[in-house]
Amino acid sequence: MDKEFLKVENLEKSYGGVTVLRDFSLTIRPGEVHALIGHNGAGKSTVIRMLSGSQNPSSGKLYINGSEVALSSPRSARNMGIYTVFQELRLIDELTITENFFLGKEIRVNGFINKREMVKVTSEVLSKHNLGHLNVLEKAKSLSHASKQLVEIVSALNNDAKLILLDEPTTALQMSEIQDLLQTIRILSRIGISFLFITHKIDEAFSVCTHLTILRNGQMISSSSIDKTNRDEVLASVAGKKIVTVKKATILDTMQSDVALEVSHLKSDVLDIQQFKVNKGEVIGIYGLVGSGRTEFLETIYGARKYISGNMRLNGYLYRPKSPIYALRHGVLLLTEERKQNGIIPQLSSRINMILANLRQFNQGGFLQKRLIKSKTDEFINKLSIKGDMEQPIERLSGGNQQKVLLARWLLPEGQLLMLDEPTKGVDIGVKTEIHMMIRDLAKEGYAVLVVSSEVEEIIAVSDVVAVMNTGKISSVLRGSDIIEEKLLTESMEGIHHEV
Amino acid sequence: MKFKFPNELGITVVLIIISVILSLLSPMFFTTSNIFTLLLNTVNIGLLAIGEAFVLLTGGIDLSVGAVLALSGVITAVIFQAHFPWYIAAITGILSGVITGLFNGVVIRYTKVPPFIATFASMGVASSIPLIITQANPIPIINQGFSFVGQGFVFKIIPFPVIVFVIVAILAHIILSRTVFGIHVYAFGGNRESSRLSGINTTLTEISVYVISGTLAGLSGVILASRLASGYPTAGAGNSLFEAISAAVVGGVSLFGGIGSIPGAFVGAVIIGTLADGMNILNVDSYWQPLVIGLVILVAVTVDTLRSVRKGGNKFGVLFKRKSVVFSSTEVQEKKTS
Repeated sequence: MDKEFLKVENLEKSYGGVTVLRDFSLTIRPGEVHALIGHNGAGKSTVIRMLSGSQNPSSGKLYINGSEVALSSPRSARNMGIYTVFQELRLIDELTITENFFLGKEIRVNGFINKREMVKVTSEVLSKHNLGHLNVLEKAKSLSHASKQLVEIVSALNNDAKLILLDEPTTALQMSEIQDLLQTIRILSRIGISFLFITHKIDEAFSVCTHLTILRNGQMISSSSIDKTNRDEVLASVAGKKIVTVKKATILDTMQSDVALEVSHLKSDVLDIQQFKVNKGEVIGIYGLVGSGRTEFLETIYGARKYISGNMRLNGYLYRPKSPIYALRHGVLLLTEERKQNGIIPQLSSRINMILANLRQFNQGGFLQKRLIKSKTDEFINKLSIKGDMEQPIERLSGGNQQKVLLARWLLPEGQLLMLDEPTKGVDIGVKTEIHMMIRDLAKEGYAVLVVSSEVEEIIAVSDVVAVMNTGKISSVLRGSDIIEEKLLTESMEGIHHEV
Repeated sequence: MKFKFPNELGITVVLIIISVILSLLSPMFFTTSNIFTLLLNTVNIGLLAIGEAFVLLTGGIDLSVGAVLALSGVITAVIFQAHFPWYIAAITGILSGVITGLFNGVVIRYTKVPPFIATFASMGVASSIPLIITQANPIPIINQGFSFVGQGFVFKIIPFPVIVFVIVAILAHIILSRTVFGIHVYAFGGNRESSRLSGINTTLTEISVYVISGTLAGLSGVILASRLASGYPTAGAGNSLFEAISAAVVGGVSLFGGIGSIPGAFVGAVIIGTLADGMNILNVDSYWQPLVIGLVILVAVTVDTLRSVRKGGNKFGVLFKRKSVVFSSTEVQEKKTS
């Protein structure tokens, strides 16, 4: 049992000159359960993507059972016994458990599927792993998320998996389901199956893992056996020892300024906000992990998402966001997080993308004023130093420049509440600072600004007040000197493990 | 500032090549009177193709345009027979197209029935009504004023319908390229979610394109009725619908939305008209004509696609990318709401 199954040496990955992971080394022996911990953007997903074969490393070596291999595709990784259970599960809803179980490896007799045999094998394997209560002829869509996940793990085993990568497997699970999953992992590790377990939750890591590796900003901070470390140490390493306080000197005296938006008792399918308030000229950072409801909160204020009950007031007047059109008319603006899914119109030119939310301003007698569009967009192109051919479809720009175009889209209209969801996603560092300064300036001009960001540094750099979100609730509000990295990280994490 | 070739260039070159070949094969082809005959014969499909282009640009499809062609002609004839002036009859005919379009748009928007199904259903309804009214007999319209609509000439040489066609095309082009509504159409077809979140009235946009398509189909039906001097209940039953869609697609309008233009659809319609006209001049057996048209369309679109792929413009690749994006965003939405 002591022979190493997987050995990774000096793995490195960069995208277009930006290194997202450097010098990553790890050894996994049969039966070991490794936790991979780190904050958003630390490089965890990159590790998974490379080990699962969906992306190739820029440099570095991989050994399986002592011989060097290249994991060039998900298929080759699977052939070597490495299986990945992503957050988005792979089971096909309309197929039965049996069909999913044997997908791509159906038992065939003379070209026809031997259904009886497949059903038999599936139910045998499932009952061996305490899943005997599932009906193997039922469609996958009738299963709960947790059962689907277990079925996926078990079907990996049936295909001779030696190492299973789990990408934040517990985020979508109920408490009891988490216990079931952890128990399954413990049992399987005893028969020699190894796991690499990506998680935000330190308690889980300590309850099931044998080894723990911490990533921060693409760098491996520590990797050790679990009994050689403790929770505080881990927390400190995740956060980083040197806490950068780039807090700006001028904290505005926001006490006397007017309230821009007031939210009370806002309830929706994922949100439960008791009280929230943002003043004019104030920047509130909203911090939380993926799935904490931060994006949904902004979308609800913007009218893009329905809410069940609640009360909102904008400048003291009742504000009922029923659609983005309503929100825009009231000067409530939202820069969305997913650039590709709900930001850009790929085929339209960058200029048109920039003015999309504000077409009326360029409309005279029914016609668009091309010259006005050009001069106005040029102004922002210079201000944000956007590079690329502005007449070409926006999809031909780099991600960072696309982001700047979208930012400009929301700076063009008259507004009073500006909500920015990950405003600097994919933007290079120099411009990042510029955008941060711009956010401060906008606040000075009287905008109320909400900034959602996964980057602690960003939250610290721009916010007067930070609201930490957790499972749809605002779990704490930090002000002034309380806004430090350590506090943000512990607040957002600890909130979660109250539940475990 | 480097000069940029318009996207319609490729398909215009195809049109020129076809014309050159035809004029080499027959001295009859490149004469003024034949060119105008050709354009006159293109008007009906052309108007449908322009309407269809609006719908395709939003990522939808309108299968009812061929049926509206017949509906509008018959309605015009019926109203005329009821002793209304011919222009009232014509307007009522066009109105039947507007109503069909409105019906399509409202059903698609509010019931979320896919455009293919919704307009397929209205195609059935719209093609049955004329047959029921007339018992499959054409209804004559004998009127001098009305006959000018389809048969008149301006300056003794240019057919009036051709002028209508060109004016409609120019207006449609201006609407799509120079107005807010035009950008909304492209934006909606390019990325629905982004459009909605940019405060675009997507309901209005989506319904409007079907109304435009229905209106132009209605207009086309009135012109056809005037040319035939009667309302034919089976007028649009043949290939009109498919020729209209292929005209738009040949002209570079994407079936997945967001890409294309009116000049493109215009040239596409003229290509199809030219092929039909050329084969008539050359006395090609009518059984062979659809086969030739089909093959030429296939070759033209393939060449154009390969060209834009090599250029990096990759119009179909882009579309598939966009499709997958839309798919995954609805998936995310489902996840969030569940």
